[in-house]
Amino acid sequence: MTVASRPINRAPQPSSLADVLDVVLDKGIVIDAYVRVALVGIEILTIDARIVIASVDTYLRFAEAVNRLDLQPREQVAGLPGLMREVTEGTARHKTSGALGGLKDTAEEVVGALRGTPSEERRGRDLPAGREAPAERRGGKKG
Amino acid sequence: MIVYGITRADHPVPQPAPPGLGHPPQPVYLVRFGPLSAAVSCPADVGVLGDQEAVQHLDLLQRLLARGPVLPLRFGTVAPDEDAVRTEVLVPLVEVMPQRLDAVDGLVELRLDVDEEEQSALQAVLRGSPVADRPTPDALDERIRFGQEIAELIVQRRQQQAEEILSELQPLARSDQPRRRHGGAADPVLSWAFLLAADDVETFDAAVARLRRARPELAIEYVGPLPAIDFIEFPTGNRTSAGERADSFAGTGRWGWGSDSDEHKGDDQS
Repeated sequence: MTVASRPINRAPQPSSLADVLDVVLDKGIVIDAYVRVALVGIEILTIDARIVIASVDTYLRFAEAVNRLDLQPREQVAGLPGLMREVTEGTARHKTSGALGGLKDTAEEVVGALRGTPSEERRGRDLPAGREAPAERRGGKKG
Repeated sequence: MIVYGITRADHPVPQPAPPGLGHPPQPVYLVRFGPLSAAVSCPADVGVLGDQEAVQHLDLLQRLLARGPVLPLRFGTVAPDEDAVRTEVLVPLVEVMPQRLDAVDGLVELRLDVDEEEQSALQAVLRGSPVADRPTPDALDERIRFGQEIAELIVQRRQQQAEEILSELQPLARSDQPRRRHGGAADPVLSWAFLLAADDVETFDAAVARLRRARPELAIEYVGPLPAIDFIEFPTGNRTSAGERADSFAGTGRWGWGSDSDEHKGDDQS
């Protein structure tokens, strides 16, 4: 049970600035009388100006993720179409790995869906090549 | 002079005294009034108070905490002289603070932030689920509804994970409470604060280590010991807008948006 015998279990401080500020800023005691005691300006990159579109964004990402997952027992979709779909998705996954990639992807999906651009491609979703079309997605990003 | 935190008047400051913020850094010492004291330092120039200084401020508090109870003063609190610290800081607190400090004597706060990689959670909830066999709908509103169904499965999974983890850890703590909102599609598995005796930290360490081994699919950030700020009742009027800010954090979670365009939040994903 010595410290050296195993990887670090507990960190002394939070790894994110937000959690550091939670202690020293948010939960710190504020002195009301500003007659002589003052709060000096704090120059910290603002971290609470955040976007709260979270839910819809998350739902869309989940919906899309269903198609990308390797769920082992899916014999039903095996056969040629299933196989080809997996191949094309394999390439698509490369572009969307990581949270940020997934995020961009979703944002493009929304933009695309609002514009109605991808609907034609999507209608032919049984054709494996049509639905993933990464090139077309990248195009949608420009707007 | 920069004010860092409130301690008891007889609080032993580490020797040699740790340097405070500002230029040139000056040693931290206590300004006393009755049973209370404020930890201060008196640099010629306060300088810029930025990210690193916030971390340093916390580090100072933790060094003080190792020798007795301490409560942080809001980062960036300055006073012209010791007299101002006594009359403006300590006098208003002297009624209630000594009891509050006594209440957390020997106690520390540990924080646990638990999350699961999105892919791992999705795999787990969709494998064998009828949802996985349905194609993703084309129309945006149907896609959102479909995603919402999946989100519900994910939330259920997280809630179960959270309950299991809490049932293991809660018995080891004096008190505990959530730090963020839970139960939303973008909320973490668990973001929790535990209050426990400094002597029990090792036992808790071992429990968290077991947890890590048993659940490699979870990303666990385990931090402490911190001042027991989540377990202290602050005098009314002396509390910052913690509620509002906490809410703004609660909505963001660590799934996706958190790491976008903000260098500092990137650390969050560790």
